Amino acid sequence: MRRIAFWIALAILLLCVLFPLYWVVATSLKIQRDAFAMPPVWLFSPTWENYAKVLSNGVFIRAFLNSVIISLSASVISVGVGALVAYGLVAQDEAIKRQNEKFVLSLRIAPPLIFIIPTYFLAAQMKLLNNHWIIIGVYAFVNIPFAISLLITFFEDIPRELRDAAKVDGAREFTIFREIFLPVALGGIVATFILCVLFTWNEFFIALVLTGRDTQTLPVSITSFLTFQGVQWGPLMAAATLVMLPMLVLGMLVQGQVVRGMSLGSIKG
Amino acid sequence: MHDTTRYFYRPVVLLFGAISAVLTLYVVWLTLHNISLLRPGRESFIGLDNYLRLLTDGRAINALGRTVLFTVAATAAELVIGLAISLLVDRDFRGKRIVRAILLVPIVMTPVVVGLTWRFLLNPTNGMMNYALSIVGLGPVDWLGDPNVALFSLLLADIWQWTPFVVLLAMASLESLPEDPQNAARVDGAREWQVLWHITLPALKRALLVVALIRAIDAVKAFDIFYIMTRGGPALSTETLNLYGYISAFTNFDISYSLTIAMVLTILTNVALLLLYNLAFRAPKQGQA
Amino acid sequence: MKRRDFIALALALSSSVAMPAFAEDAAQPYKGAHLAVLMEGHPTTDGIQALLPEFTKATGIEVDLEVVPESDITAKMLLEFSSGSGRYDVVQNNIIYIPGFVQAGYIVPLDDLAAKLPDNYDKADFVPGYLNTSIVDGKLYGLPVYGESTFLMYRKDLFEEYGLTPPKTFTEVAEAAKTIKEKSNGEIAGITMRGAQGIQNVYVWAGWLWGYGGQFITEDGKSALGSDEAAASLDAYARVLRDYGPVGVANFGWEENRVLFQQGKAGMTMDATVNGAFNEDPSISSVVGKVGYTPVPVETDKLKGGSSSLAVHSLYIAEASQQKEAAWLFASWATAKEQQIKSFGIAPNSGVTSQAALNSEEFNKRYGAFKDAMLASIARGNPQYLPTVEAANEIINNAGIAVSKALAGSASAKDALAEANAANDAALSR
Repeated sequence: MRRIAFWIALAILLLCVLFPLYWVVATSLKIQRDAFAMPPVWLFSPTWENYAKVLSNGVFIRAFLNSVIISLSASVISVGVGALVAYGLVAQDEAIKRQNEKFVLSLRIAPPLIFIIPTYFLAAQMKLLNNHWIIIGVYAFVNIPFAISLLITFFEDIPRELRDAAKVDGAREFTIFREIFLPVALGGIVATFILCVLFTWNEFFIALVLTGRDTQTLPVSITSFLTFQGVQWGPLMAAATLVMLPMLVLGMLVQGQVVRGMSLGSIKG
Repeated sequence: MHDTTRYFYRPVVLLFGAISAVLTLYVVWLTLHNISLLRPGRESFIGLDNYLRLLTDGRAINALGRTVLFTVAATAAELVIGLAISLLVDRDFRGKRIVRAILLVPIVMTPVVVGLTWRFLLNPTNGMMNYALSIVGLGPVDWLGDPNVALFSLLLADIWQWTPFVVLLAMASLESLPEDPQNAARVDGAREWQVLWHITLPALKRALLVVALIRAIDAVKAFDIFYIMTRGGPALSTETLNLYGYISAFTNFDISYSLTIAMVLTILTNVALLLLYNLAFRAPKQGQA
Repeated sequence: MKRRDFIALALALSSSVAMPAFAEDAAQPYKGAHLAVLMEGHPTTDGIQALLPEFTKATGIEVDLEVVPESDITAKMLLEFSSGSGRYDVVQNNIIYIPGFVQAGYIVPLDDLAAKLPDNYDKADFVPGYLNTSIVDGKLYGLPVYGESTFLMYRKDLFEEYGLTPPKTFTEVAEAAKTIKEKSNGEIAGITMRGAQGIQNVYVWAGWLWGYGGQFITEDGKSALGSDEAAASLDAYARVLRDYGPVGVANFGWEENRVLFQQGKAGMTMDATVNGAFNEDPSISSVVGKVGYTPVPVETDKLKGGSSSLAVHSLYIAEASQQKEAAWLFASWATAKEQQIKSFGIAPNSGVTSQAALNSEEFNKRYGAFKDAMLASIARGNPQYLPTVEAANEIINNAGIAVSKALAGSASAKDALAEANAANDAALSR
């Protein structure tokens, strides 16, 4: 009896979690008439019409490329800088390490509005708007603290003896960093990188204010879809599926690290 | 020799410190003026007028109330539901790995897409929620159009996306708990709810407080689903302070006032966090020492 | 054909046909210029976008057209203007922003450019009421891209079935809405209108405000939303939607409202004249030929301004633009009658600003069903329909909150407007 109750509860839970996702994907495969039919159409022959519409939209393709370029570049910078800082901090006393880590993480509590508007004005004066580097720089600034604290946890797992032995052999710090820490913690570094990509890809508010025509990312671009084609839910859901799908795949790749990473501070909104 | 490691972190930490100091000063300077995009070249120093205006701005005070309500409700609901679910699945069963993977889906989903999804599901005439209600003879509910309901509809979307986060963290903590005290209590004849209340929950307390803090910080800053689903409407019923700051800047073009709102929100958030943090961690730590 | 049109045509032809190189250079003095243009997501923009290759071919000027939703476009251009980035050469916006933009020095007068490069520009062809709205202190600041008014659309078939006559007052609107909802057993909403907070609900409610004898701003520059007329108009607007409107109307924007009416699920709606083009398009509408069009009602004789809007959206040239002459060529080309006439075949567009396009056979064929009502509404259209002051956006935003509150019933019309009135006075004095 208890077992049955357990399985029923589990089924309800999974239904609640998965149904919205299923409905998005199902709607993206329906023709316009079925998408908005009431009562809902459960059985339908899938059509790729909506995807064709989205993929032939130049604005969407451009936004897709922008999202790829921006999230990859910002994440490379974040992880690169983050790894160096984390290496330096791991070598310090516990107190210094925690103090510095706390400081960089504390910068992330502020709502983005407070640093986005000044950044906008400064960027405008330097004629850097509508330039990929400004948005990449801001995302790196936001993600570096996160990368630092996550990488510290990975570097701490590396036995101190490895480092000490190398030092006895007279290796320089940068050599130890490159030859020992990077290879040993490679799994953690890749996970950190993927999480940075995930945060950057999903981010909306900063992109809404700081991107222009040439740098618009997917979450921003999809909102213009919404307003133009208000009720065309089919193409909209197809676009939504294309936006989130890469993140679902990446999320599954680093399953174990997502929650650990997000506990160190998520950058959404 | 040993100290070359500090060159790995000092420059970056100093740079971060410098950037935040400059930005903070710049923001303070901007809030002491009346900069509007509509009045270029006509801005002047107005001292603390923006802060005084905020104190008497009923719309801002209501928005603050809504921010607190949303934050407390979202955090509490996610914590309670999340804990319940994690206790439910805290056992060995076939497919546990798959359940864990599925729970990850809402967390990694793009928040803008989450907003769109729920806007679609909550559509008053063609949405699934009202269809489901109509099957059991209820509704229709105007989920996003009724000012008494709209904030709860947003809450629903936030709970859907972030409860799994609480579940996964709580699951991890539960698995790392030693089972001996629980079993000992059971041998002594304690009922399950007593084991839960007196042994399991106190052991989870620290982990749950951390989750609560993370969720609360994010809830204060929540923007994406608000922007997509209601943009603060109807009748301001979903306008949080964060959103009001955005609207001040990008609808009213009142840059200085917008930054004043952001500044006050930042200060309030930090004060609240500090209080909570001390309440949560300082006291037990001293007790342990 | 006028002489300069003939020359323009000859030049265009000469450049498309293979000609000696020097002739091409002479015909394309701005070849290589690269313009950035910001326009609204609107059927007219679709038309211009589709025709762009012809412009580039004729002039050698490349155009990057950025299209954003109308609700976001003002913030977008203001951020660029205020930073002096010079990113946009040409922008499109509602004429209500002209005074603010002119005062801030963001946009330039066009008279000198028009005199220097008159090829595409035919002043006499623009609907005079439209062009006049873009003139400030005797100087021309914008070229009208599209113009429209508002009218009342009603289902002729339902009105006949239930023995109703087209409403002349708002009281009659409420009565008709009641009848339709009751006699159709609630199947068909009596009336649908935009209810979404902001420019959406203000755009429609403004017709009620003026029609009840109210106004946004008094002659001496004070907010006028605290008046009894304003309260009565909002109360009536909110009541008719609450009692006889569709579910979810509080979040209806232009699109949701249009689609509901087009699907035959409402007996009346009050909106922009361009909606007629959608109602009469058989590929998307199930009410083709069943819709009657009549001017926006009035409740009193003592009007401070007409209850039909006159909404004109024009192209402006940015002060910060480094290539104003090429920008002018684009703006005058995009609004010329040739392009307007061609645009009929591209997207539903009844908002043409060229008289030649308005009187063309194509227009009559497509939009004959509502042309007379549209012209009548435009003729009595109120150019002050929405506030045209610097703080217009904030005033509309505050009014939108009041409309939304009254519609939701979370405050009485009078209280909601009193709040908006105070906020607007503060904005006006800032």
